Amino acid sequence: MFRIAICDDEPAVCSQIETILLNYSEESNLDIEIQVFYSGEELCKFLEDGEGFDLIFLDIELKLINGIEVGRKIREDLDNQLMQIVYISGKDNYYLDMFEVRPMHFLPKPIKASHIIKDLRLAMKLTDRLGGIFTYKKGQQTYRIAVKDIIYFESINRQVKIVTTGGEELFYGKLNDVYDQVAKYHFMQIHKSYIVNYHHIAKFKYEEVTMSNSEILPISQSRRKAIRELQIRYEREGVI
Amino acid sequence: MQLSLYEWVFIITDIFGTYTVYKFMTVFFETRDTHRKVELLSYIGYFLVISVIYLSVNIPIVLMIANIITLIGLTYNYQSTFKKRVLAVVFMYLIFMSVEIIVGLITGYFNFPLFSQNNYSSIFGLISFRIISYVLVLVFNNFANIKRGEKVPNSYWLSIFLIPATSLYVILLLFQAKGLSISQVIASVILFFAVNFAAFQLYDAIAAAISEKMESRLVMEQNKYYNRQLELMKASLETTKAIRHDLKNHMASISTLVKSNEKEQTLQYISNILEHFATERNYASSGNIIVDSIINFKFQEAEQRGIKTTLDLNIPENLGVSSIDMTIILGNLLDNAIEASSKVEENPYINVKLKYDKGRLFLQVANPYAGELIEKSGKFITTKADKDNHGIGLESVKKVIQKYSGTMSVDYDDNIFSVVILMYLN
Repeated sequence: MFRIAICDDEPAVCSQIETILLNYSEESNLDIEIQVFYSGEELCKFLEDGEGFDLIFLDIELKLINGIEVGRKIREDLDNQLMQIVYISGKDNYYLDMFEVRPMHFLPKPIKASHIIKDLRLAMKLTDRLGGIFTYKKGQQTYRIAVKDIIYFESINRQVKIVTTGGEELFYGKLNDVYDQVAKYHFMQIHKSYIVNYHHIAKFKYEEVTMSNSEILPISQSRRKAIRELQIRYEREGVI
Repeated sequence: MQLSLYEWVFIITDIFGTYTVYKFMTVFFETRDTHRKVELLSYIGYFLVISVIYLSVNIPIVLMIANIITLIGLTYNYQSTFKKRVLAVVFMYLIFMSVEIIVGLITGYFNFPLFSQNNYSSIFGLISFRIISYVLVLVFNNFANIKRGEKVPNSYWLSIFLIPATSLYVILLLFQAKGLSISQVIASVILFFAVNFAAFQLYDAIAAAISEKMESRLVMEQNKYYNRQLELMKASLETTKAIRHDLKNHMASISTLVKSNEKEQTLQYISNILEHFATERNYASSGNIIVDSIINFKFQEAEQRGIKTTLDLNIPENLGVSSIDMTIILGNLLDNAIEASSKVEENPYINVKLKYDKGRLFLQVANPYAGELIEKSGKFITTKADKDNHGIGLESVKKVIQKYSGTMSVDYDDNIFSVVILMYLN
């Protein structure tokens, strides 16, 4: 089930997007659920109650609480880094603060069906990719962690530290084996001691990355060029 | 092998000399092409080769040839053209040699048999030679234009090259000549040095003039884009004015239609107006003036040549990329895309996507092309007649991208040429 929210104070826009999505999901046989909100407050209240979505089509120019504030709430207060946000705007000039909540895309009004469908497919691909499970052993016990919650792995002596959105774990193991298990979920080895989740990187620099938990990790000099190439490859594949 | 005190001093001062060579390289070259470690190793290698040759062979002509070859080798640590490498090394060697000769002659032990073992030795002379060379490098470091390295035309390059090359030859001849007094030789070498210093200064001035010319060409190009943007903005202002004027009329019409319960006609009327708005917007209006200007200008050109354009702009108003840099990147890429696409007979198009994301700027340009594409030392050339035109811009695009620690990737599968650029904006 892929869960989508549409939030716009113009009911006409909401129903237009909803129709496009429903038609497409019927044609392509997709399992989606759509919820419509006519104000930022309504959406926020729903999110605060612990409900989540995979994808939100969010109007920027909402009354009272605007789309940027809603986005900030999702990323900062609710600490959800993986909910995909597509901003809809009547204007088409954007400001830097709109990019800080890391939207997947901006859509100008009037809405085009092809754009909505493209964004839906991209969001589904991303969510799909993060749907994996990482397993590790500690003593006799096998543990399982959702890949989407892993921020990064760090090798400390003969142990591996997993930093997740929920906390930290240590287990005996090699970073190389970890990499073999998670490489297909877009993890990047930026350093001999660090493997990071591409989708949990909040800011890229040539020599370092800032993770979604605000930690800054170095990219070793010998890996910088390769990491740059990898980003280009992901971009070509449309991974964001 | 027992080393004399002089030989020890030579080795120790040669470390300093190698550092002087490194500083000299930075006069000519700006960007390193190899890894830092490789660079360091190559200088250590240079030091070892020269020391070993000096200690074992010590024939001036052999040392000279070894020096020139290893120095040229060292230049491959940096990005440059072959022409510039040769020029840099010849200049560098000439300067070192002049200083060495002057110091040697003044300290009064000089004896320069070109093809046989050389055994003059003055520790004082050696140390002063190193120090003077280093001071000179610091002076040369003030010439900032050379390293920026705009391409100097061949004819200029040859004229500049002839001066140090000829000097080198004549200085060597001076030592074969009989009947010249030491003071005459010193005076000649000093004069040659002065001539070469002047030539070096001229070279710097030429490099400055060329880069200025390039810059003014770019500014003119930018003005062209800005002018077009101004026209567009004026036109859009006119449209808004017209709409405001018409709004009253439209409202009156709608209200009449609603009053008489003509639902179908009302909807038709409204959708007509909406359509009018929708067709207005096939151009960039991200608020980032330079990006909008370039794209609108180039897209108009493309559409006039029957090329379909699509645009996906996700960038903030303020990107932190200078307008000159943006002109070089976008202008060149779009020019290439238009050029290649216009040769395609069926369904020519250009897709442009600009995206700011997590501190990075991604730029994608894709277009179909006809014919074969040849990659030649990082440049792309189509087999069509425009060999001179195509791929020229990509060189300067690469240079700009480097400023932002970025990279460019080119892909050309299935007759679609696509470029992706990544730049870090911090």
